[in-house]
Amino acid sequence: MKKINFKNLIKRVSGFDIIIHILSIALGILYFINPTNFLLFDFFGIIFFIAWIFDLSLILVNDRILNKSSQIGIKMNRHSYYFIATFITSLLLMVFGVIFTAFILSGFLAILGQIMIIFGFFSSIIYGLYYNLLTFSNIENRGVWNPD
Amino acid sequence: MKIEGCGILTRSKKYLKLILLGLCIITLLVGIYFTAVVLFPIPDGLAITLSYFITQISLFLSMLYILTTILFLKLLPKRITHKWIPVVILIFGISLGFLSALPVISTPISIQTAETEFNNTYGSNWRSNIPNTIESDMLPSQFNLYSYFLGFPIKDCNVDTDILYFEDGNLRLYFDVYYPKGDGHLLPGNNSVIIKIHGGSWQFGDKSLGNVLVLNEYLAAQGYVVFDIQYGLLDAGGSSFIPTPDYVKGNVTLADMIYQIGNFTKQLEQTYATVYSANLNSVFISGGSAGGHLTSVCGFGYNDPYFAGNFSTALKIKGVIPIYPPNFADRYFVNEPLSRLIPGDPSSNPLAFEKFTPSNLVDPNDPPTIIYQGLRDDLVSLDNAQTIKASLLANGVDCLLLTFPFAAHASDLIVGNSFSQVWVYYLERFLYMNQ
Repeated sequence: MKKINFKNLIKRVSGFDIIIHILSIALGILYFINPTNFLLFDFFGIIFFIAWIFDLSLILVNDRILNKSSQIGIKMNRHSYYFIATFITSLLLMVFGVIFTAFILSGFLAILGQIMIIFGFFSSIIYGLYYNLLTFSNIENRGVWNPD
Repeated sequence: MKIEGCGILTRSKKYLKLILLGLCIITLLVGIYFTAVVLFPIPDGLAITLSYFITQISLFLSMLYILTTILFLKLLPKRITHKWIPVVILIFGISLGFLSALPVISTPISIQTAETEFNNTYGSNWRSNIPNTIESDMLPSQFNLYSYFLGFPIKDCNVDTDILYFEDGNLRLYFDVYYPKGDGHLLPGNNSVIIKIHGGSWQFGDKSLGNVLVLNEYLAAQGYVVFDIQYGLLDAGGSSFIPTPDYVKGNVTLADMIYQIGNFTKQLEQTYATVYSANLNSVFISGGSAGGHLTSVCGFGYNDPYFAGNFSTALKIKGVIPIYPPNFADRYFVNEPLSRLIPGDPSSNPLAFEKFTPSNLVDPNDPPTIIYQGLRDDLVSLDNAQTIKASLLANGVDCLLLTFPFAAHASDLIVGNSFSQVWVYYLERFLYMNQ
């Protein structure tokens, strides 16, 4: 059976993920400036969801092949914890934001709900982008990855 | 000193890991319970209440379970030598996430059901009944992820709140009205009227917060004039998490509620139609749960001799929109406290029990109907909606029954969720084709 080349896999995953994170940020800004039901935003929804799924896969694969005794390995491992914490917080902010804005249309709670959604969304996407960049830029770095 | 500092750091890291591991285990255990609530009917008050919310945010929870599983795997002590343990944990976490996401994954089934209902009722070419210029103002797709995760985009409209329309002793009833900012005639709604009746077991609930106000705003921005009304509620002394104002509570029967809603239709004719440019030749009645029952009684009973003189004759009812509507009076109004809503019992007062069962009120002149029904509704089962549909079809009246797998009671409250998005997509097309 052919062995999976994990380094090659994460190079491709993180490279593609960087592109869709940048697209998600651009479309996210467009969406929050003018939130309407528009077909382009259907594409936006698919894009950011794929970005999230790839982020999860990347954390998993990185955890398997990262050399956690190297200096950069330690740094990347620490960031994977921060990213998971940010991601969980983002999801919680978004879900409560969505609930607030479903029941309250004006006043402080409605504004708070909107802020929670925007902050939650961008923090998960921007931290995801940073984590992907960190991975991608260290792909060829010797000692960061365990030998296959 | 340095070595001692390192020791403290290592020890606090160890404790932090243990705390996080504990939190992960708690989250995954809660996840198992929540997923069971999504999948199986659990006859328990807490589970039923939780099902209202969990089924509407299931994809958020699914993501949380998968993230928690990944964190758990990262925190597992390295001394675990069995390679299969992390694999089993990963498979468990992904399976939990998948099962939890079933309400969203099943969306294509809801869409297919709705398409079949529309094809059967209006023909396979039913979309050609809606001009492109009109359809471009409607939702472009049945489901999208941005509305799910970022909330349903709120549209701008005018809102007037707390307008008094009925007063009797301590009982005061108000309504809110949502209407278009510009000329409604240029929008899909064409100033058609939607009267919305909230739910809450005939004892609780309120207009506004309890009556899907995001949808009210959306429909108003689409050119509809939405009247979100209060009606008298039975004061049986119980309590609920649903906010309910005291001034709507009293010793009220179903006949009183129908009288109050009828009174509203008369005031609409005499006063408010002119104030809000409401098109009385195109009126829809909509409501969820207990509101769905009252909607059905009003909609099908509008021309019934039993309710003669109760409603304004100037309103042309073009459609009835019951949402998870209870149908059988002899099932819902025989036990305390709801038995107080109809005087007597089915044997001593059979006419009232007959007339407050919506399927008995149907006649061939009744308007077309579209029904929302969740298939995981533990409070109002599918047979209620099916009986209403069968009765309408038997009388030659169009009826579309949209069913939603894994949708619990009140599953339309968060408009961005997977059920509500599909519902709104087809609802606005139904409204346009029948106005």
